[in-house]
Amino acid sequence: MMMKYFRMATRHWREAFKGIWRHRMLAFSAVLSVAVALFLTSFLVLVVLNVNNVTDNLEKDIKIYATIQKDTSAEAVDALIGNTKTVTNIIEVQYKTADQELDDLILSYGEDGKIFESYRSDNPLKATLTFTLNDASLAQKTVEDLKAFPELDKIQYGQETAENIIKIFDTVQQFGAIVVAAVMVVAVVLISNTIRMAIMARRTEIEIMRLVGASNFFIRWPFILEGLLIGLMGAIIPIGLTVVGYTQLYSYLTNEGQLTLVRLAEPSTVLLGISLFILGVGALVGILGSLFSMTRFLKK
Amino acid sequence: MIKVSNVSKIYKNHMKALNDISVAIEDGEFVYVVGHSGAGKSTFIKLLYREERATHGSVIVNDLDLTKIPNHRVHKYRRTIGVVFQDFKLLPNLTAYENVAYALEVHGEDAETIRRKVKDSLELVGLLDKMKQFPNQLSGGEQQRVAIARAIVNKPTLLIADEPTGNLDPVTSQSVMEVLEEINRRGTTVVMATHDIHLVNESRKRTLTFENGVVINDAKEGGYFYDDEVL
Repeated sequence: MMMKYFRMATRHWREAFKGIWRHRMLAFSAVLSVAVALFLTSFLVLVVLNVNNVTDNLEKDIKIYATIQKDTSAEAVDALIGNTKTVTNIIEVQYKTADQELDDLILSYGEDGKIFESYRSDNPLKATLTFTLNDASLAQKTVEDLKAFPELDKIQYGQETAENIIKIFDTVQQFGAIVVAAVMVVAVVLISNTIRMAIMARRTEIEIMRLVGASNFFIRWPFILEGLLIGLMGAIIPIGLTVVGYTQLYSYLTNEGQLTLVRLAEPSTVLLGISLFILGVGALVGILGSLFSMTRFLKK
Repeated sequence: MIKVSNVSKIYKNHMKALNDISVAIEDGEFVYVVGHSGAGKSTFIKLLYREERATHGSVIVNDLDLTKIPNHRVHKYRRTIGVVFQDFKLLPNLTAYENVAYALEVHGEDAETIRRKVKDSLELVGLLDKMKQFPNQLSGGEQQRVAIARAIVNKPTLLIADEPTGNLDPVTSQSVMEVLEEINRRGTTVVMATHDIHLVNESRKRTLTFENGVVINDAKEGGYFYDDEVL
């Protein structure tokens, strides 16, 4: 029985390769189109993975800044630091005097910062507390809790900035998904056409197969395998490009010290997963294209 | 045994091809099916190899009701019968041997069984010496004999032939008929549709004459019947 299945399988694969060779130009265009669709998919998935990485970092970096009323005594500030540490969700409190804030301001402007030196005698800035949070999603609630301290003046955090960046990334993802879906449909149609040609070319053979008692599965297998092969061949190109391209980009950004704002996920953590994913999608698109043609042209 | 009971066939375009026909054919019989074009004989033949399904009535072959078997199980029935056509339906890129072997390959038979059965079959139709030739290197009669060899390679109990001599000259037709008769002598039931009046009248076998979708004559001793006269 095993030998019988092995013989059948060998025959189906042989027929599938023959079918591709017979319509090589059409198969080539289908492979190319799958490759384009999958390359876009791979690119999009990498963007999504890294956007998640960036937004995670952004969220982790969310801190609450509060200024302290000008006339607060040193003892009151000490008490304030102690008390705010007990607020839920706050894991660290960092205190900066008004002078330290001015130093930071001057430093941040570089050479031009010297202009602020004149404020040394009458510093308009206030001392600040910076709160590091345990859970960034609870930032708003923590702000509300901090409002209970009258010594605190303005309380703010970078929520809007983070949300805006996330919104932009969301839009990029959605647009990308639409483009990928459209190219994927084109790929399925092209594969479907290739299989249709293969079915047409083998019409007499299929008729004879039916007459001599070949099962539907037996007739269909070579076409399913043909679609699968086209899908897999179309997947190999984008996998290669992704692996090489991403590794190069990562090493460029890391070695050149460019990696400041955007921190890319490490190639070893994403490339195997994404390659398998692209291979799987390629196989699925290929099989779908075949099934599409078979339901239309191999009805009985 | 074939038992066709009260069978009607209406196609999707509402054309009524068969109208309440009933026929019984015993095992081992040789039966001609004759009639003008459009008389219903091709539809009758198609019902027997389950290319078409009867709209009403039942078609029972070897205790299997063909009107009840679902499409995905038809192949199992087809493995028990053989079918031959006017246009031979051979694959041009395969040799005579490979064309016959093809019928066994699709069932997943092993190489040794295929070799043995194909040779037996080609020997029966007298083409063992031409097994390496391609269809375009064979005459029409030889091509038809290859098609017959393929149809009988599974040792079917029923051989259905739809105008097997339609493309052949009288002498070649006679050689094909001799092969079919030999197969019948070995126990296989043969049902053959034909237009060939001379063939039918010469060999004198049971003949069913179709006209307007009904069997107008069932001549047990044979002879082509039409317009109330045996030609």
